[in-house]
Amino acid sequence: MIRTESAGCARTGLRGVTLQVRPGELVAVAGPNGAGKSTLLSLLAGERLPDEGAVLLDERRVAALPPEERARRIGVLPQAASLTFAFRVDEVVGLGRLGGADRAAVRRAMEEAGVDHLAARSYPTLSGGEKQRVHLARVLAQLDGATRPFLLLDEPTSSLDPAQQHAVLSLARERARRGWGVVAVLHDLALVGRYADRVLLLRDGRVQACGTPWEVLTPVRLAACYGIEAVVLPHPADGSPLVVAA
Amino acid sequence: MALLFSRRFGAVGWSSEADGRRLPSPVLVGTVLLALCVASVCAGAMTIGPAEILALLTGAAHPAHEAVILSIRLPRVALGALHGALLACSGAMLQGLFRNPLADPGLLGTSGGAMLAAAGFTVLVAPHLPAAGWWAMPLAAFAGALVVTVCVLRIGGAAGRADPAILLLAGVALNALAFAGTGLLLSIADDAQLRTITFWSLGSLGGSNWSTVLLLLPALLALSIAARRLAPRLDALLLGGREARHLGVRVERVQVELVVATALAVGGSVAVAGQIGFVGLVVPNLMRLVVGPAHRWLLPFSAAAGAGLVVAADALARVVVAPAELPIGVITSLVGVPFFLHQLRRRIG
Repeated sequence: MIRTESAGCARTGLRGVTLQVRPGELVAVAGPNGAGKSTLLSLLAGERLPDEGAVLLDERRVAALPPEERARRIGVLPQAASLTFAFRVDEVVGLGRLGGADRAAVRRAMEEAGVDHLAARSYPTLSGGEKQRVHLARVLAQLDGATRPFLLLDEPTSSLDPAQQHAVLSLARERARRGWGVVAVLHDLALVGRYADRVLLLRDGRVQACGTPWEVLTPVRLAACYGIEAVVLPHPADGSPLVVAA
Repeated sequence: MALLFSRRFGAVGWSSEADGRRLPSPVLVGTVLLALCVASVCAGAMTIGPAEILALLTGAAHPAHEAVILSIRLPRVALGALHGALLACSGAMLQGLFRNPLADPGLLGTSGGAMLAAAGFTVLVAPHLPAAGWWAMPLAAFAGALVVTVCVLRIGGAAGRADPAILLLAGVALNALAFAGTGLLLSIADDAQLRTITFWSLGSLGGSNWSTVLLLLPALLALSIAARRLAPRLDALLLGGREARHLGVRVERVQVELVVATALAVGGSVAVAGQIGFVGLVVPNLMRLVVGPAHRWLLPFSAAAGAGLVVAADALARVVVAPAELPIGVITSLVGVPFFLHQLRRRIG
């Protein structure tokens, strides 16, 4: 389990966030711009030390774990990774296995992220959406074969078309069903309602609500948090909450 | 050099397949390099046939030729090869460290710092310290290279978060400072010191002998070990500092190892042969077009190509205007820049 205990970060204004993510669940982090979503993710990734509180992976401080061990348990898909050197796609995905090239893991990851047909392409020539999926494959390769790993996704759908958005989040949810813990920063509340097991709603660095999508995504709370008027309907397909701007 | 080539890479032939990339075979690379070295030993004011080199091995060579080959030509070729290998490999590593294909020991101020420190030692310290050993000046050059690289890294912020443009600007500024300092030293230097400093700033293999070759061997060893150890981590660093950390790279430690190894290589090279421009910038970029950006291939191939380039350029420098000699940097630039621009154009078009 990865959890934060009233964790905060003074510079970015994040305060008193308590969150638990268990293996097997997909937790969405939502909130307006500047709410502290990415800061929370970097705390969970161990790349930033909390100024207050603690961030623990199986009761050990994440930031204090040896980097190699942390990399075996926690994979991070960044918002945008800039890579201008002409690596081939399979080489980029292979960077996920620094400990030793594992071609089978790389091939599996490329197939699952839907980039196997791009394997021999030069990375800088790809479109934004293709690049994002290549990095997803890199993170999948990194966590391939890990025990109870945690996957942290920072706006994984930002440059994807709707079909790809659903493909990526279906993949994340399927990983959660297989025992991974997934934390995804998401802007699209329709995707939050559809895919999240639980939602953490942040505003101005503070937790506004944390619970199931039906508990968190209420018109009153969305109005308070985003200043929008929204209606929440049961999704015709599976009854999950569907947020529609009124 | 052999240490730089991965053991996995054992194919014999003109080209070999490694991880799906077609690479020039190490056998081909080694043959070309050896041929260049032989040609360079033969070239010069006194013409020596390749057969003489073979005769040397059997002890049947003309004594005068033997002396020329053993005490003048061979150390010069060896020094050129080492110098080229060190500069090109350092250039490739610095480009990875700064995530910028324009990083170069010359542009970043590493060579400038080495030159300033070496000149400062020669003018200000050496006259008062006659007991200083032959190693003192190269040590000063190493320290100068180290200080400048660390400054650039500090000013530009930690790699990854840093804006590549700021890093390069910091390097350019420090380089200018180093040159200003060297100019200042020139104005107070006596005639002998003046000649020494000029020699560094132009770059020349004229001062080669076996002890300068020996001096560079530890630098080559350190750089080879660093290259073998750090190649996959350098690949990860190209993604950015944050991403490399996520992948389990100890970014700060890798940075320190890279800076020390390249400072040792650049400082040593500058101390014995001065600044030979452009090798550290163009050779790795050229090799990226041939073998791709993955450092486990890029570093050894850059080292080999850098060695070949400097050896060939030095041979030309001695032959073209014989019995006089051209500055070697003139040749490396004349040969390399058009080739580089051509490759760039082909790449874009």
